[in-house]
Amino acid sequence: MVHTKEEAFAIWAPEDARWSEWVVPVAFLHPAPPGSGTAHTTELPSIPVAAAPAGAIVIDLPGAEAVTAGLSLASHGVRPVPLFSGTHGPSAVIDVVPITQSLIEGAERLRRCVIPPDAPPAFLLDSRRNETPIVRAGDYDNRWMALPQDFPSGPLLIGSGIEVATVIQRGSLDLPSDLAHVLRRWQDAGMRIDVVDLASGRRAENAVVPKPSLFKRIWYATIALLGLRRSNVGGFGSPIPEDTDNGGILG
Amino acid sequence: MSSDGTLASNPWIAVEALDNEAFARLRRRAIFDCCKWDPQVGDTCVIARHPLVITHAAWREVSTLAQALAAETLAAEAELTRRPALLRRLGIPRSVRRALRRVSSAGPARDAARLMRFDFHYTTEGWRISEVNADVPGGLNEASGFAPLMAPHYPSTTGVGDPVDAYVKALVAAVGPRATIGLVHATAYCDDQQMMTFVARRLEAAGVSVHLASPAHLRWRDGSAWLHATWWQGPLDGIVRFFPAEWLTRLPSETGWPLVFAGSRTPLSNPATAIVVQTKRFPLIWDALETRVPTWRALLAETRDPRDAPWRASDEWVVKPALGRMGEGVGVRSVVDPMEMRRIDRSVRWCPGAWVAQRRFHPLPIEIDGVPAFPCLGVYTLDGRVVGAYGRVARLPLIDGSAADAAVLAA
Repeated sequence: MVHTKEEAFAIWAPEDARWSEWVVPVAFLHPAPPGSGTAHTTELPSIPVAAAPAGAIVIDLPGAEAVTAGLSLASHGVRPVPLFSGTHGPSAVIDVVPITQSLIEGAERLRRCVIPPDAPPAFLLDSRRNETPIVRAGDYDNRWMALPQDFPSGPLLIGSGIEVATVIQRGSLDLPSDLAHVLRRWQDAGMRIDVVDLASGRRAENAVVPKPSLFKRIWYATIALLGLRRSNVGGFGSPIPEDTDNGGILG
Repeated sequence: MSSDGTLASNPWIAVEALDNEAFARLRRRAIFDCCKWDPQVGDTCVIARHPLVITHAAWREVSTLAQALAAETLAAEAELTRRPALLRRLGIPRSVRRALRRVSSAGPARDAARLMRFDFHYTTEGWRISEVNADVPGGLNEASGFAPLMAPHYPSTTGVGDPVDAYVKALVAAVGPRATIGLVHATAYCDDQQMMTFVARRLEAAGVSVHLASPAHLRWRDGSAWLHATWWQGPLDGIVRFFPAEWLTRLPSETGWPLVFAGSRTPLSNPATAIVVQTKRFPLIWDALETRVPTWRALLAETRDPRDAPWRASDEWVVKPALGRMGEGVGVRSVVDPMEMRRIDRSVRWCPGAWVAQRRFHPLPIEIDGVPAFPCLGVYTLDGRVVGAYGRVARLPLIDGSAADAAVLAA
């Protein structure tokens, strides 16, 4: 059964589910020609759910693979929470269309999963979000970053009985810097952070998340995006570093 | 004044919030019909469950004030661009001041559909404003979209205007039908793109071709803007800018960003000269202006350079970054986390010319279902005429990114 975008969103963010409010809508709104998603495949990646203590999961995998990983966890009673914040445009640096397609095409599979309303969350991120160091001039630069305000806070998670977060990624046990801003906050609130590398099978239990640069600075998001690329600064909300006659930096 | 401390002319009408079922439906419609793609910020839902309902009399009053403010603001901006010696006191970057000095030689950038938003608060002393968003006023999709969603639940109310409808008409009048407009914004942020997408849909419905693009895609030929993107290259008949003026200077030189400040022959909404009145240090040069700003003086709290105000020792003063937006970096001693306040203190010490101290005003809360909430009424003016409003409600007397967006209705 093929669902509309709004129907798919309602399936991924049911009103009675504890973590539905955090589902980011934008990924459901991009153009999505049918047939190119991967969520309809029967082969789903093996996610070591059984090895993860009860708690939150953060899936940080490339594009549609994160969606299929979320669906795999859903079959084990975990609530997948898409947090894909990438915008869409012509000649986009990050191709977000497969994510949209997978969310829509995977909605029926998700609908058939039995997930308790208070099931723990699996936050889904696109690990390609700020890769691609070479951007062609003229492209639509839709690279993005995960920000702390995209997630529930550590105290809220702990108050919901979630005291552990397991990050599932591929290729390293090192955490991406943007995710470190989230996880360090969770750690400071008292949560334990585990990291799993799907490529090697290695696992870091009770990992110490080092304090990242600009941690809790009010202009973190702005300055970090400035570092991401020079020609297309992202978002606004704060002054940006700039020399002034008074010395130092403005802001 | 009544016995509970509120003024007899309280502009707000308390209403009940929507129940869970009605709110869930509204939230879904806000996402899909109003491009509200960021309904959750951290642990907070940022869509209000109730409208801000203002009395008709109060709406007329605040509209009159906003139109007076808009006239004064535009006049002051014009004067400031002719008097570059005053720019140094405004807390705007050196590179921006250099760009603004080109106005005298290149002429002002051609403007169209000048959009501003004045943020009003009802206080113990009546109406006050906290700032003007003269550069890139946001909230348009919420301001235009939420009221029609809320109004059916509050049948005794009416809307206060559709700012995007007015904006589109003004843009079409400026550039002509079947024109091509570039909607220039920070493409990484979906919360910026959501507003651009909402405006774009309305422009397309009016027959305009639109391109959502980055300012990095701009090029210029004899002062006229072109879009130089992978997917399309060609001349633009107009530009809608939702990219802060002070960020333009970070762009590569081939983007021709100085023309957004001076010399553009392509109509801009808004030209980057708006930054001279966007800065919160604008009041510090009022006495040096020939332009009179009596409405500003009446409505804005006393504002000083932070070196001239006792803000460290007194809760009656707050500090704000000169070019701060969305309440970020505002130092309200009794509201802001102590560690954050220490960071702000250091920033002010290091660069006082980039900050401003303002005497606190005391907004009056409204009660929604027994819970006090602090409203902020953002009134849009378009070419000096009021066209609608953007409501926000916060649990604390500080409107920041976690304040809830509220439809504005009148009764």
